[in-house]
Amino acid sequence: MKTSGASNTDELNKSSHSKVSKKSTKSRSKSAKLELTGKNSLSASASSSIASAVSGGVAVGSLPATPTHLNMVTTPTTPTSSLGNYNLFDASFAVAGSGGHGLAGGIAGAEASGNSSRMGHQKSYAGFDPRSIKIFWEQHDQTDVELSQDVCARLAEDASYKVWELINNVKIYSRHSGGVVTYDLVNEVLKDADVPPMLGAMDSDWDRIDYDGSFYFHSDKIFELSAEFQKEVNLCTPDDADFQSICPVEDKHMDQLRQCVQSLVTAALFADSKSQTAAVCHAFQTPLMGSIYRVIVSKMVQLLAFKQQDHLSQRCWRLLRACNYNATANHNACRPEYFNLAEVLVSQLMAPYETIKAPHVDPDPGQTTSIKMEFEEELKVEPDQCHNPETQENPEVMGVEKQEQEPQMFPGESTMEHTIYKLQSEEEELNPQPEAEHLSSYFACPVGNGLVDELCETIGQLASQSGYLHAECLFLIKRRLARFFEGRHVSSERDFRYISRAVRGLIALGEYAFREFIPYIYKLRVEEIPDSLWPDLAPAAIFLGGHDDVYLYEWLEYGCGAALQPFLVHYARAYEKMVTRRYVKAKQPAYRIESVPGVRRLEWSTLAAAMCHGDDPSKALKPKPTLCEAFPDLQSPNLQLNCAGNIRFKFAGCRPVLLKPKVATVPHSEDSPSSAANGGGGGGASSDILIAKRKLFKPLTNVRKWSPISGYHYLRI
Amino acid sequence: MYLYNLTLQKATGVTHAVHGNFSGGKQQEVLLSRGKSLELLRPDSNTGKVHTLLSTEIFGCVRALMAFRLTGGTKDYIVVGSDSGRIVILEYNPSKNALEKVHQETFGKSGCRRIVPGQYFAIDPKGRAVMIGAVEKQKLAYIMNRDTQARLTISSPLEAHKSNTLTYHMVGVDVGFDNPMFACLEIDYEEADMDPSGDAAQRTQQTLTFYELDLGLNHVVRKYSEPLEEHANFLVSVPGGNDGPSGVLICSENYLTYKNLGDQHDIRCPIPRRRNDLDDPERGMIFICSATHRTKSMYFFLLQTEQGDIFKITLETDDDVVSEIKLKYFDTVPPATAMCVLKTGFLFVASEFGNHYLYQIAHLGDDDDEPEFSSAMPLEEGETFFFAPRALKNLVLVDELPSFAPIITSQVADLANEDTPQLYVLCGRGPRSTLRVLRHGLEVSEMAVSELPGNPNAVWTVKKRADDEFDAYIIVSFVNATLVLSIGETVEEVTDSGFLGTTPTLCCAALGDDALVQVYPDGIRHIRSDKRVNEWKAPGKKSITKCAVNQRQVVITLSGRELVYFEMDPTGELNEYTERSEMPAEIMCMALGTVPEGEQRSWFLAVGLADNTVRILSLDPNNCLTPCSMQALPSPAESLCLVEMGHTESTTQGGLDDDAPAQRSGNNKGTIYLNIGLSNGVLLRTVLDPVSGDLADTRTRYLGSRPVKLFRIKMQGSEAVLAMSSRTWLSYYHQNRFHLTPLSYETLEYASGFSSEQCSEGIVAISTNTLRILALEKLGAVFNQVAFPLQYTPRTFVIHPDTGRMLIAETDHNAYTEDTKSARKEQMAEEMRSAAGDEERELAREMANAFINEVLPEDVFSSPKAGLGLWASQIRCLDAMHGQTMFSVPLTQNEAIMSMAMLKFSIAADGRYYLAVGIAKDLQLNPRISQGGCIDIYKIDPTCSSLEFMHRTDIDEIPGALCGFQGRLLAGCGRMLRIYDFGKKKMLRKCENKHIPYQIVNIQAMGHRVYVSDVQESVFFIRYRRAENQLIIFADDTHPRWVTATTLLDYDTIAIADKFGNLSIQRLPHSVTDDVDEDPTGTKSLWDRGLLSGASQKSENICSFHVGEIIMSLQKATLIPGGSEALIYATLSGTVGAFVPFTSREDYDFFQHLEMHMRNENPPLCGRDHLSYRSSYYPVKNVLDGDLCEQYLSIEAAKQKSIAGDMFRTPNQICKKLEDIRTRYAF
Repeated sequence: MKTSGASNTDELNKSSHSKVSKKSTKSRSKSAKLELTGKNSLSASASSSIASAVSGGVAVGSLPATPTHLNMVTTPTTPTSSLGNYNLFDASFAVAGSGGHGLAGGIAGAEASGNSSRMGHQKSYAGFDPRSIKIFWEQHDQTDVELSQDVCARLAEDASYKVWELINNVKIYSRHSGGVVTYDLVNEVLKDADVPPMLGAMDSDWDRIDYDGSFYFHSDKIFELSAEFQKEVNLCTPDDADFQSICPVEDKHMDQLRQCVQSLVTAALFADSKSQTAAVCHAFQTPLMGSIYRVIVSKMVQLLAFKQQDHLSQRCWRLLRACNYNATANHNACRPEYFNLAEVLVSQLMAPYETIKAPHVDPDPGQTTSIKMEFEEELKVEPDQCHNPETQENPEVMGVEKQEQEPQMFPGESTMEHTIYKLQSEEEELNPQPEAEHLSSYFACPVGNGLVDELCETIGQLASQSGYLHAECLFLIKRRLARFFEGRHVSSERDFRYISRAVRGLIALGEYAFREFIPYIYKLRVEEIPDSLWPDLAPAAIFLGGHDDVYLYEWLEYGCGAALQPFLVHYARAYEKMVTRRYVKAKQPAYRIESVPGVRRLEWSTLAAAMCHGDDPSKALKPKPTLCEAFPDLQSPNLQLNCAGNIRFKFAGCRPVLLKPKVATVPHSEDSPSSAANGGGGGGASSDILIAKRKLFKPLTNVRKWSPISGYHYLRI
Repeated sequence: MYLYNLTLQKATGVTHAVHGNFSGGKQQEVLLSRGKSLELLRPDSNTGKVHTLLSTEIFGCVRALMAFRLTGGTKDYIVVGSDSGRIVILEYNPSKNALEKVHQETFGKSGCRRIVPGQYFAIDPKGRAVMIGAVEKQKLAYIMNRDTQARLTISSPLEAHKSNTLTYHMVGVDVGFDNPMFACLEIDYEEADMDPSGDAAQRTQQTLTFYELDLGLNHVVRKYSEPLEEHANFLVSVPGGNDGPSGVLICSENYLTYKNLGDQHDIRCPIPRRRNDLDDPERGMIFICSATHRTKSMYFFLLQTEQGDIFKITLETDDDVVSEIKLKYFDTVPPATAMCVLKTGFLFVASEFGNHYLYQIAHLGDDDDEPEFSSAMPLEEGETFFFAPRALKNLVLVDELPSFAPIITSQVADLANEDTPQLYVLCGRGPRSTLRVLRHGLEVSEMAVSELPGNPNAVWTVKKRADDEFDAYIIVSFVNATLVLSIGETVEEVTDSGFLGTTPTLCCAALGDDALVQVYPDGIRHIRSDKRVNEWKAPGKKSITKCAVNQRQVVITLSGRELVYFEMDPTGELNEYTERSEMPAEIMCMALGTVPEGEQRSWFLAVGLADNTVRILSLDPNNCLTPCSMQALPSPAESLCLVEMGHTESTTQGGLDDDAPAQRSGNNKGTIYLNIGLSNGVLLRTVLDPVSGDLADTRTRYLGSRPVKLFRIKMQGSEAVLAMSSRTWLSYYHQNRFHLTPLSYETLEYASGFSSEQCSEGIVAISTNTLRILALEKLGAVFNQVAFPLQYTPRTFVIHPDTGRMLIAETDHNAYTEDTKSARKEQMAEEMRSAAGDEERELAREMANAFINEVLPEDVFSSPKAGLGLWASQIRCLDAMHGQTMFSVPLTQNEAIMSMAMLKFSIAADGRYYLAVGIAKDLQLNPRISQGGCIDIYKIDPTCSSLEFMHRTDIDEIPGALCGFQGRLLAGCGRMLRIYDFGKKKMLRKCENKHIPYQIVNIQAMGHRVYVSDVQESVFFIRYRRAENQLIIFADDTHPRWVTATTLLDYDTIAIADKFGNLSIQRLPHSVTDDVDEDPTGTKSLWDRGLLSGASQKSENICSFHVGEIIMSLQKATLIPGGSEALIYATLSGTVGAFVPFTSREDYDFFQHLEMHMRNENPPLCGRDHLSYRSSYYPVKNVLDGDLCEQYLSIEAAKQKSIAGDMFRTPNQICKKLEDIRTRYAF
């Protein structure tokens, strides 16, 4: 995927609105792709994007299952509860994000319903968009003649058919060559269709033959079409439908539940710490959580988004965690809430997407360039940029929010008007609609560094319970990272702090999430990584597994050095082997050998060894064979046998004669172990001294030097 | 002149050693190749002593030796690569105690040729195939299998030749049961050969090549070849299949590398160096030998460096992929040619030079704090590991096998005034050199010695029960009393034994199963196990004078002539035979044989009478005490001893198998010998016919000046006779041969066998007033030795005639003198101090001091290798009797003593001996360059207690040989022969001859003649014409000979040994005149010169013989007092032998025929034709091979008989002949 140069046109993806609406059931990743293809497709003019936005609106409207915004969440299993839910939802808190936000709701609805409706639609082929025709036209047109929409649509169909036909011909022609498609073959097809072969289609280098002079020719390239035919294509939907069940609530209890939520939230967020604890405990175990979880979550989303105060955030997180812990919380399908919650949490972690700016990209008029997550600037920028679409679409919801929510919850707040506005870059202004479809309109400002850990904990906790939230958070973080790293030379301390937050967030999301960071790893210069980043990166080592992780390991090891060590204990041996292999594979000629690097180990005590290998220290230490194991037939000879002096006499008149030591005549008697230690000399102490290093005449190897990373090597002086 | 080659002491150096279960039992044996003989050793796991089971001459050169085992087999075979052009597979037959040829396949010419296989062997570890390789080009693979009778089969050879390829080493790669694979170190020199510029030769790389033997296709393919970065010297196969990762370890300079086929990457580890080594730092480290120990669950390698340090190598694997080589310093032992790790935990080290050792592995070296080096340890570029050598920690020395190899020179002399001359041998190399004094005789270990209250007359040991393992009592008889000592943890006096203590004892023994008998002058005391005592009293005033006792029979003489016979009945009672017998003369001695197993009695009684006869009386109840036969003697018999000897002892050695007794009774019926000790000191050994009682085949041997007393003892499980005269001798049967060897011990008076827990097979003996317990360990050894250590490699020695002290020239190449060594140490210490930083200064100073004070005994840890061209020398004066170094004169660094002579200068007229020492300065060996040389003259004081330096004479060439000649000095300076006379300031050159072609290495002089040996052109006969002051070459040899040693046999005859292992004797024919003129004008030489500028007269070759080992010294000498002179030689491999002259044509004919028959009937074991072997360089002439003839003693009886029949003799006669010729000259 190309990413370069996309920073300006970043948001244009949302412009291909009709397409997006059709494919709204597809995954995030698909849409991410789309946003990039959209980027490439045209450098849109303002008018075209507006037009597409209009058509997008039509598309949404045409979906059968979404007549009103109230219906936006389908509740296939228990209609009663859905009603109850919505009642509960709307009546008490009337949350703008879910109830009132048409766009988001539309997407969510499409997501929910589209799965089934799109299933049977097979024969459709991707045609040219009329807009494409229009663009084609504009590219060739020098006369300012406006091509009507109608013409474009027709032309589009014709063009599509023509291309389809050509492709079909290619396919037919290729049968003769057994499914092998070559440039020549395509050219042949084009020729038959009276289309001259494309110039420059073959951009490969000339091959050269030296025979009676030099000749140049093209060697044909081969595409294995049959392989393409047979290729298995997986449609992956990362956020598979959750198992949804919603606790049924009878109408008569609705009020009580509403009360319950109210007091729970109030207590957890605003009461003293004792009450807070009680509330949290209650949330943790209340059986009602199944019924009120969604409400609480949506409430939290709003609070986090609008009340950007650290202490409040902390409390919100705490409550969220507690609720999430509650077993019945999982009975809820609360994707829309999670959708927003993810955005809010990630924004808290990594700042809103839009605030991230690559430093050296051409400065935008409306935004300060160098700063990405400055709270103040966000505030400055936000109002004039983005309140238009919001207010346009959901004025009444906003109003409800402002009037009902804020005074209740934040009686002392005066800055609330800032926080309701969405951050948008100038591109968003141009094309606000599509962005809104798959991105939450919520945001939050980043929390202080001290809270990151707790935030990550919250994210991790929530993500671990919901695959959807997990995917959502991951997507959002990736997005931010992509933007952050675009064209950026990471050098400043602030950059690293940002990376640190991202990494911590990813780590909180787990191993696979963290792996998304790997591509950016290589954008970091190892030597520039500050020590402060080590503790954040090092825990990633626990994700290391298998042999594929060589690069990650290598990098981590480069970046973190010793800081990685504590996290490697579980894998010490495995990694040693892995590094060994990887390293040795890197060596080209077979006879060029060098010492194999080892993984740095902790203090190699028995205890550590035991730690490294679980509870079985014997396995860990790979105990050396004992003498008896090595020599099953071991017999220690009785050296006393036939030795002089071991027969003693004891009788009257006996006077034993001292024997001449036989050893006097035998050289090498010093060999006997009983004799005083003569080796090593100079007492035992000097045997541990290593000095007077001497060079060998040849270097150990002719392969590139490998820096020592082993803990084996130490001098004992 | 006809000579008979006799080996006195077989080679002691070891060229190859392999181990395996050759006998098929549980025990492992070690098979040694000693160059031209094979020797099978078995370490006794109880005592740790190494016993030699078998030693066989193979009459060929063993070039490669391997043990292998067929899959699923329990017995190891031996495959031998020799110079025979054949592959030979041997199997050890324990019941015959012989190596038997299983297969012999011819593939090439004989001789050590570069393209005829035989130099290398590689065995598939599963025993399915063997590859035999030549140095160049050829490799053959044989597939081993077994047929339906489970006999080993060998296929026809499969060729794996590759021309233009030199092979350095090969091993069988352990691939489990995949196709057998062999790894070879090779060099393809084709390109280098074609390239005249020599660049290609520089570029040529050694390769590691894998050959796969495809068992399915029956075909060998060169599977894989890979160039090596360093030059490797050998490979070690790594266990594979289920036991390990397979592959090979490549030992090369400074590195140890693991390689394997497939995905395995190379693992490389530097070879550690010693810390603070004085060695030349540029010197590469190499491993010289290895041993692999593998069990089902583990394996390790022991690899030894040139300095003798053993490292234990283990491989770390990860799913059968080796990830790491680990090295750990194990111990330091002498550098070895081969090491064998036995299953019983013994490590046998066959040293390159000097004694071989058996160690017990006491620890695996895992628990000590010695650092373990690993290939995974990252080293700074160019660094290596260091370790500190130390005393043995993991090994315990258990036994030592003496080895004289290399013998540098030797001399036979009786410096100790012992009648029997000693052999003074300079052995060894570097700091492990020794002067060894060899004496004929068995070494005796004293186990205990105690004084007794008086002078005893006799001593016996008895068991309490017949089936007891150990003796229970020692009974010592005095003039008027008997002392009974019980054998336990201590030897204590007991009074409750039942023996009568108040009377002298004539004899005592165990009787029956559990009774004892004591014969004393007044009667016989029969002590039953329940302490009941039956006494038989001598009738009347008669007293018992002599007696003979065995397990069931007692014979006594009453009052001189009357014989009374007792026999034990089934109830255990001792019954007197009713008739007493009167002998015609006074009975001097009597003997009963032991009761054969399963029989009631010994059937014969031998009686020695005062009428110079020995009579054999029958003890058959039917004709009891009737004479059977009689033998007249030259003098009265002093003692008699009936023993059964002559079965192989290997089967009776302890610890072989449980069914050993069955074997013994089955097929080991020995011959009964009557040994007669005469009062004139002669021992007769006569064969007693077990049926008729006839005496036949008498051998005679003079033992000493005193009457011979005989005692029957046990040696290695079989009976032997201890014969006591002025010396004590042991007559025993060992390795198919009778040995009669003196004990190197003081005179004894009475002895008996002794067996206890502390000493399972010993002798208890009395000598004056002492009781001694002795043990004999080195049965089979001819010489016992006393060794005195030397500092550098000895080169030559002279004996000061007046004092018998020896002046030894010691010179080492690649060595430091003491001065240089300490200077170098000081320098290194200084470096240490100066290299240290501020904070380490104190520490560095301490370390430097410790380093300076550190003394590693060089005989254990080797001396530092100073570098090429560095020499250290000294002259040492040694009192060979006490091994005391009287003084030593060190020479300065880089002076090498090349020659030495002791002489008197007539011009000095002081009657004093002078020592002339030829010294080379700054000698470089290859190419041979030197800064000239000098001759130093020292005056020796009359007591030889100091040397007075007279002067030094510088000369241009190296003085390679010196010799006193008519009161002047003959010096071979390079190729110049000069006569020097003694001057005041220097030696004065008097005369010179420049006609020696290359380099003078040896000068002998007799009368006016000088015999000068050239390094490669044999001997020149030179006449010194005093009148003209000319040295004139008047004759020379017709053949080139690379002379190593010469000796004059007479004025016209010289014996020459060359470096290819030949001996030749050159004699000047009668027609040769030494009265020739040297024509100064040169005209005469134009027509009177022989062919190719040789002398006009030629010596005649009268004998030639290929000994097979390089003879380093030749001397005409007698070895036994009263014996005849023989030509004694000593070889580099440690052999001591003799060429003895035939005195009669008859003998020569006899042995010639015997040799001929033996060549046909008993062809050499390794397939080399005997005649061709002895004629390897020059056709054998007039020398008979005694080694071959003596193999007659060990061949099967049927063959013996047939050969004897062909020669119209009996086997006994032939044996007697063989024994006679040996004992006439030597032992």
